[in-house]
Amino acid sequence: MASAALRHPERIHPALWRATQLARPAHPTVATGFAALDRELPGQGWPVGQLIEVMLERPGLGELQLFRPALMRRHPERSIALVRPPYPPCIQAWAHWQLAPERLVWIQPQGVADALWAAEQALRHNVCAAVFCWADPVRTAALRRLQLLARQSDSLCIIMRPASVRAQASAAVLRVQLQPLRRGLQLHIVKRQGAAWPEPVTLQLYASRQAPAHHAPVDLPEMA
Amino acid sequence: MPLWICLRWHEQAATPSQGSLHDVALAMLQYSPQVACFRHDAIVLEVSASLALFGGVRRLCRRVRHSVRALNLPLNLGLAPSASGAWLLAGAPPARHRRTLRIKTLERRLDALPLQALPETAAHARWLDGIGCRSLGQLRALPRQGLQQRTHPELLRALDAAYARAPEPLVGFVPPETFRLAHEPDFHLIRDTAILAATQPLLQALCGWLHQRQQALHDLVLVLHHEKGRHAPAPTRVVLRFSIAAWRLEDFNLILKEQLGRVVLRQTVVRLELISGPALPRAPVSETLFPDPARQAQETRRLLDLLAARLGPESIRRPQARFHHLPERANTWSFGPGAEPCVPPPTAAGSHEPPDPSIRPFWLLPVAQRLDVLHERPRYQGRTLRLVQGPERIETGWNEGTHLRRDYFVAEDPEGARYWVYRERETGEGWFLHGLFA
Repeated sequence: MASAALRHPERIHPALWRATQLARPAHPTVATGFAALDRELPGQGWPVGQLIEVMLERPGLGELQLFRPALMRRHPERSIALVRPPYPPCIQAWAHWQLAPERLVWIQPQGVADALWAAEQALRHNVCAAVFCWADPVRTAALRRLQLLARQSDSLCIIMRPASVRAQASAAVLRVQLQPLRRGLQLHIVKRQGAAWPEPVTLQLYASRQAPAHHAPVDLPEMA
Repeated sequence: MPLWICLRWHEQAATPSQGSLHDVALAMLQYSPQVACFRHDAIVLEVSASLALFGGVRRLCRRVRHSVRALNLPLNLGLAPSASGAWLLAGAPPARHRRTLRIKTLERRLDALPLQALPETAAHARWLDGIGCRSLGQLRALPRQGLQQRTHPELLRALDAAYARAPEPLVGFVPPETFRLAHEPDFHLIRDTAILAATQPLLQALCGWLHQRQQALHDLVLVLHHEKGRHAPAPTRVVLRFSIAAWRLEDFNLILKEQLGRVVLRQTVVRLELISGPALPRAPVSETLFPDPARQAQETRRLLDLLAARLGPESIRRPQARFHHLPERANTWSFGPGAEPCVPPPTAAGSHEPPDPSIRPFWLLPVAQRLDVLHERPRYQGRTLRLVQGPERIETGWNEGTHLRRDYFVAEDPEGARYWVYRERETGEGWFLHGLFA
C-alpha cells in the first residue's frame, strides 16, 4: 500500500503532480481551439477562474485571435470586458470573428491602479465571460490579488503585459509569451503546472496566401 | 396573534424631536407597513405578518437593531403581543428581559414592573401608594369595579391594553409623497468615509420609504451643505445614477462610496440632505434556481454603474456600430453605463449572406498614422512592410465635400505581424497605418 503511494505520489492528492508530467487541474478549462496548444496545457485548455498572463512586446500580434475560439465556447451570452486596451477595438472585426458585438465592454480608466480596480470589480461581480486587462507596471501583490479574485469567479482572466517582465516572478498560473510569425504566432509557455517546455508552440492564424480571405484558417475547427 | 416591536428612547436621553421620530418611522417601514408613533417617545410596528419574510423573530429583531444602530439614536427595543406591553418592556431596566412572544410571560413580566412605569397611574399615585399598591401586578389584582369607581377610566383602559386584553386605537404613520430628508451630524465632516457613515440614517429611511411604496429609483442626490458665511461655497451635490432602478441599501452604498471618493471637498460638511429622484414602480424579482439571462444583464448593469461611479461615465464604452464606408466612422462607441449596445449593420454575423469578405483589424487607430516610405515600400517602426493581401478600395465622402479614395492592404513586417495600411489616392501619394491585427 505504502509502496504503491510512493511509486505514484501524484495519486495521493489531486494537487500533486510529477515534475515530468502535466498537472490534472481541479479547475475547469476551456479548449483553446488549437490542437497543438491544447496538448501542452494542463487540462487541455485555458484555465477558467485562474489568472493567465500573456506577454508580448507590442500590441497587434494576434493576441485576441488566440482567445477567439475559447470566447465562442465559453458563456456565449455573457459580456467580455476589455480594460484599458492599447488601441480602440474595432466592432466590425469582432463581428467578423462571429462574436456578438453587444458582448463587448470597453473600459478605459486613466491609470493602471484604476484599471486593476476595474478588473477586480469585474471579477468580483462574476458577470463576464472573460476579462482582459492591459496593465503595466503591475506589482506582484496586485497580481496575487487578481489571481485570488479570479479563483472566486468563473471568468477567463487574462492580463497582458510587456515581454520585458518575463524574468519577474508572477502569481499567474499560466504564463505565455507571444512572438509574431508569418501567418500566425509563436507561443512560448513560460510557466505552467507541469514540466518546463522549451519548444515554442506554432499556431496558424491566417490561411496561406493563395486561399481567398474569407475562408477560415485550416486548423481552426468549425464553430458555427 | 399580533406581535409588536417598540423602539423607545432611553429615559435618561432628551425627549426626542418630532423629526427624529419621523426618521425612525421611515426606516421601520422596511419591516412592516403598520408603523405608528406611540405616546411621545416611541415608535411601534406590528410584525406578525413579517416574520416569515425575514426568517423568524430573532432575525427580524437583529435586523431592526442593526437599522437602529445605523440611525445612531438612543433606542431600546421591546417585543410583546401588545403595543403598550412592548412599550412598557422597552422602558424596563436593562436587566429584565425585554422580549416575549406569549401573553403569559408578558403578564408575569408586567406584574413585576413598578406602578410608575405606567404614566396613567401618576394622577392616583398617592392614593395607590397609601393602600400599598406598588407594582402593576398588585394594581391588576385590585377589584376591578372599585378601581373603576375611584380612578379615571383611562387607567383601566391603559392597563387592559398593556395586558393585551383590549385593542388599542393607534394612528398609522403616513409616509410623505416625496423623499427629502436632512441630517445634521454632531461633527463637521470632511473625509469621505465619515460622510458615508453619516449618510447611513438617511439611506435607511430612504429604503424604508421605498419599501413601503414598492418603488425604486434611478436618480438620487446627496447634497453636502457647507458652513454658511460670506465666502461660503455652494453646496456640493453628489449625484447617483442607477441604470437599473435600485432600492437596496447595498446598491446605494456601493455607488455612493465610489462617488464620494471622487468628490473633492474644499470645506467641511455641516449638513447632509438626501433628495430622491422620481420613484418608479419596482419590477418584481424572479428567484430562479438556474442562471437567468435577464438577471445576468442586470448584474452587468450593476457592475457598469459601479465602474462609472469611480472612473466616470466617459470611461465605460459600449459598441454602437453604424453603417459607414469609412472604417473609423463605422466603429463608434457610446459612452456611459446606461447606453444600450447597438446591433451592428447587417454585414456582420447572423445574416444569411456569406460573411463580408472585407477584413478589419481588431485594433483600429482613431487617426491613421503616416508611414515612412523606403524604396516605394511603407515602413513602420523601422520594419519594412510587405503587402500580402488587397487592395480593397474604399471611396466615399464625395457628397460631403471631402472626397476620400483609399486602397487598403494587409501588410506584414519581416517578423510576421500584420498591419492594415492604405494608400491615399485622392490627396497625393502616401502610405498610412490604420490598424493592427490583434
